[in-house]
Amino acid sequence: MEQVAKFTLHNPSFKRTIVPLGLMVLALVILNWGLYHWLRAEDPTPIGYELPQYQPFDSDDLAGYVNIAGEWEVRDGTLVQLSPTGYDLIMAIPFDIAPDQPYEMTARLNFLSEQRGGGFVFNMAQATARQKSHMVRFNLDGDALYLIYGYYDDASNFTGQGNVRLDFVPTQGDWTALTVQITGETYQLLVNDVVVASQIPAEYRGGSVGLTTSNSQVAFDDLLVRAWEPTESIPVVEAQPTEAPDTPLDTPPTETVEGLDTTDTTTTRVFQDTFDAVGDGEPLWVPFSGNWAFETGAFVQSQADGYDFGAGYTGQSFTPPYTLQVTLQHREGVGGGVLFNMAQPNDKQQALMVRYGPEDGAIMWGYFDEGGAFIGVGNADVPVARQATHQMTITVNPDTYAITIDGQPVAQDIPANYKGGYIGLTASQSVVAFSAVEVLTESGTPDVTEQEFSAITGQWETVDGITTQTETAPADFIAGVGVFAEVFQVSVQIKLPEDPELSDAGGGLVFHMNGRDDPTQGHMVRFGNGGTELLWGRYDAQGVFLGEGGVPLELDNTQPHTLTLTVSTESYSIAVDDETLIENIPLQSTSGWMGLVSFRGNVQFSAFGLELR
Amino acid sequence: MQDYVEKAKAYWQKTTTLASQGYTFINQPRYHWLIRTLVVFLVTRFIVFIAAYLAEIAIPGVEGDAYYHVDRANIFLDVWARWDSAFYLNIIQYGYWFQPGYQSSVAFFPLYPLMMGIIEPLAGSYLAAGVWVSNLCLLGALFFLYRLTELEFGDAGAATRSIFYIAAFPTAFFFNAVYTESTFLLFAVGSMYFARKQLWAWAALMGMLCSASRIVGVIMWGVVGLEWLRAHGWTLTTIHRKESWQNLLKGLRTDYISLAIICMIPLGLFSYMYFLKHVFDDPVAFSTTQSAWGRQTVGPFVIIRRDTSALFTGNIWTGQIWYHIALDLLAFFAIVIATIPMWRRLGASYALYSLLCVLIPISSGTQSIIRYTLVIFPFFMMLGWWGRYQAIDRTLTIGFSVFLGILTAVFVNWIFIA
Repeated sequence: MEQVAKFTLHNPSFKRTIVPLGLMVLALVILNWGLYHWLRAEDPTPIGYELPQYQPFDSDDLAGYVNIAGEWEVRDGTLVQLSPTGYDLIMAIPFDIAPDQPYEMTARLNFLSEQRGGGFVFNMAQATARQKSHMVRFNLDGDALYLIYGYYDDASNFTGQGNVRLDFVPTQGDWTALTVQITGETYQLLVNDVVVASQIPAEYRGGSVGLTTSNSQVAFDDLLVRAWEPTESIPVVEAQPTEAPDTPLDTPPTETVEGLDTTDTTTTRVFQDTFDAVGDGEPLWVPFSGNWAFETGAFVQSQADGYDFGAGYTGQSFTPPYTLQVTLQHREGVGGGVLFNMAQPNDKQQALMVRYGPEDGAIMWGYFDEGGAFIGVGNADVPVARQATHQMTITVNPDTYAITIDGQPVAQDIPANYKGGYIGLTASQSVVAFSAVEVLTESGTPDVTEQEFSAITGQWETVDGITTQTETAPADFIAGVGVFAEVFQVSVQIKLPEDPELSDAGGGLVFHMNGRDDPTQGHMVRFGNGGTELLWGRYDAQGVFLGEGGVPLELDNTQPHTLTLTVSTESYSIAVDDETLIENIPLQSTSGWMGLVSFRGNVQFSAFGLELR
Repeated sequence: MQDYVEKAKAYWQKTTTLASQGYTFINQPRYHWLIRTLVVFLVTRFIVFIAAYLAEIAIPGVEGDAYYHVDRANIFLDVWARWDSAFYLNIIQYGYWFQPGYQSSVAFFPLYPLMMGIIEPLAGSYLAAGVWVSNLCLLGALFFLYRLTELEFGDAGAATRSIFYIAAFPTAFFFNAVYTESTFLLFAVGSMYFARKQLWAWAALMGMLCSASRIVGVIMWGVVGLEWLRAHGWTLTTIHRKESWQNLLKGLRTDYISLAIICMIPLGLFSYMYFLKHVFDDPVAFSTTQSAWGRQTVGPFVIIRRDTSALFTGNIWTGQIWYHIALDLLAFFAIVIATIPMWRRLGASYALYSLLCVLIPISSGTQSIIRYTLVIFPFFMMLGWWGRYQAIDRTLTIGFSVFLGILTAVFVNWIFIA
């Protein structure tokens, strides 16, 4: 137990008490004098702007603007960032925009140097740093102009949310209008009043805005920051004009839409759902956003406030060419449409979309990219949609698609960024009842003989029709074909390297992959060990190859050899140089994406042929 | 020729004697506090200065105009202005500003920038002034820490080790930087030293300055108060004894002046709060603005659970780990665990100070705990005491020195540590 200490009293003394007390008084005097006469700023509260705010930069007065980095000057009625080098040079404009306040920021940009790195910072958590803010800016990559967008996180690191390739590159003197429209949870981007990306999630909300440049001299003008209503009509856009019919839409067309030649082929209905019998097949429709409910004879999306609500059909995927026909009726607002060539039935990412909107009397089309951001491709006027029942027909070919509304062609030869996949329904800012969905195919589908391969792993390049994988590490390298298929015959000529140091190289095909760039759960067949064996098996969910069988071969590596796979719904067979070696190998999955595989490197692929059945 | 030889020998003998005499003189135990502290200070600061310089010129750091350089013409100085340093430099040059929702300079207390302003005419620039203030305060802090450790343990070896450990701690480069670590440490350890010597007015003076340098400085009020109680026979362990309360009453009757003087410690904080009220109409603006740093007071348990689980979301083998969170949590748990022997060996005031110094910041986030550890001097006193075992001493010496070099290089290259 601790002994109680005896206390000792200290009588106040000069050295022990008076001196330190005097010093304390002196210190307090200095502290307070310093606070009020030294550390008190002349204008301690920075100017905070309020909406709306228009800045034509007619004067040098940039009161409250915070130069975070860069050389910013008002010149000739514009605000110019003069430093041609340096990333993320920002002039912040302090606002205190509420997190749930929809607002729009727009300005005109003139690029004064070779690079085109000008743009906006918005939803800034503070006007003194880029930390926790969103950014969108132009970026010149080679000869192509992109709009890149994303956000700076807590540590100021930039996380990209996507990019859009634009179909123009402004020259010096050209003014380009950039607009960002922010709702509470998402934002969309417009270039020259064209929506180029939408429904981008907002990581941060409210706060301040700013102008930014990267490695570029840029002049900004006519900056406008104002409150914005998401229901405001978006300016009619023609981002990348496609071939719209020349004839007025109120004149019934006399020619059929390209894509399916109905006179020469037999059309077969491969899928139909009229929602007549509740409970019959409905579990295969999976809503992934919005409020969806089955009524007798209709599948209804009832949430009127919001964009890109969707439901996908999980029961089956479709390989082009096919025709998707949807019958729909708007009960409130306008915005119903379809999704197709979807990578996944429960997600809008990597899917094509056609729908009514953004205002009545118009239809728009485009695609959702890997990040789920909508990239508008085009739009056109159509008869007013409200309350009437309409039929939307999408004719999907391997590389393009065409749109027909109520029997009238609207657009055709629209590039299909994604080829094959699931179908779905969508609605934006509207209550929509879908009463029928059907998919038609025809016999005698064309062969696919020319494909563009996209590297998933490894180094792939195509020269004069020969695609070569050059990475020589001992691993499987895969390139996606970009085709989703179920029943087909695929063949490719493979030439293995003659180099003795690559004597264990191999090459082959992968099919039924989980995603366009995801080989997991795909079946793989390839030549192995320098052409001395043929092996087959499957990648599991983690991408680990599980062998299922193999046979010895004696291939002459001075010549290419043809590997052919014939895939049905339940099994597949393997042929080498047109001789069937293995038959009826059971399948673990019934459909998926296709790709090439190379073990080690310098493996050449040519004469790729695909016949969809 | 013979004369020259003899003269040379005589001169050598004389100077040798003088040198040995000098060595004997300065090696007297009564000068240990001065000599050892100076040696530790000069050696560690020299190494840190050189390491920072080499790291800046040899390692390509994070670039970008947002990563400012205050004085590119003098790398020796420039490397000591990183991250929050800009706020102090901004305060002394342009004054305080505050806008709710934004990272405002009111979060930073006024004593350090004022000291920079006072020294600036001598130093030549605000940056140089900041580095001078930081280093001079560190030297003073080491003097006090040496004397305090020697007072508590009666062991000059423990005192020497304590000041070495704190000067070589992995984040001890902050003692050189335009940060408040040195200033706060000087006044905190000085206040405690005078309290233990029962020089209450001196302790209050140092405590008042402490409360004007950081928000947690106000805990010196409670710490010195606990020491006053202990000096008057009232401790937490004797709380149940009647004599303890009798002694306290007697103390209140006979030494209330000292207690009143101790109660002047928060005047540093109050002065700043009154200033904030007067200028910004928000006396706790330094707290209001914390949310702009992403800090929310949700309590230490929520924060620790959240950040601990965040540690295991990445793949440690591929480097996907929040390393600064790991360092912060390591420091936090080390301090919390050390408070138990600290309480037993040094007393409640030391343990209370250490605990509050980590619990207050960790209530809103683990961020920067590894830096805040620098001012928890009782932790280093205990390490100095435990360092009497050679294995511990060598482990700490090597470990601290190596990581000090690494983190210094990381810091000067604009990679966030704390």
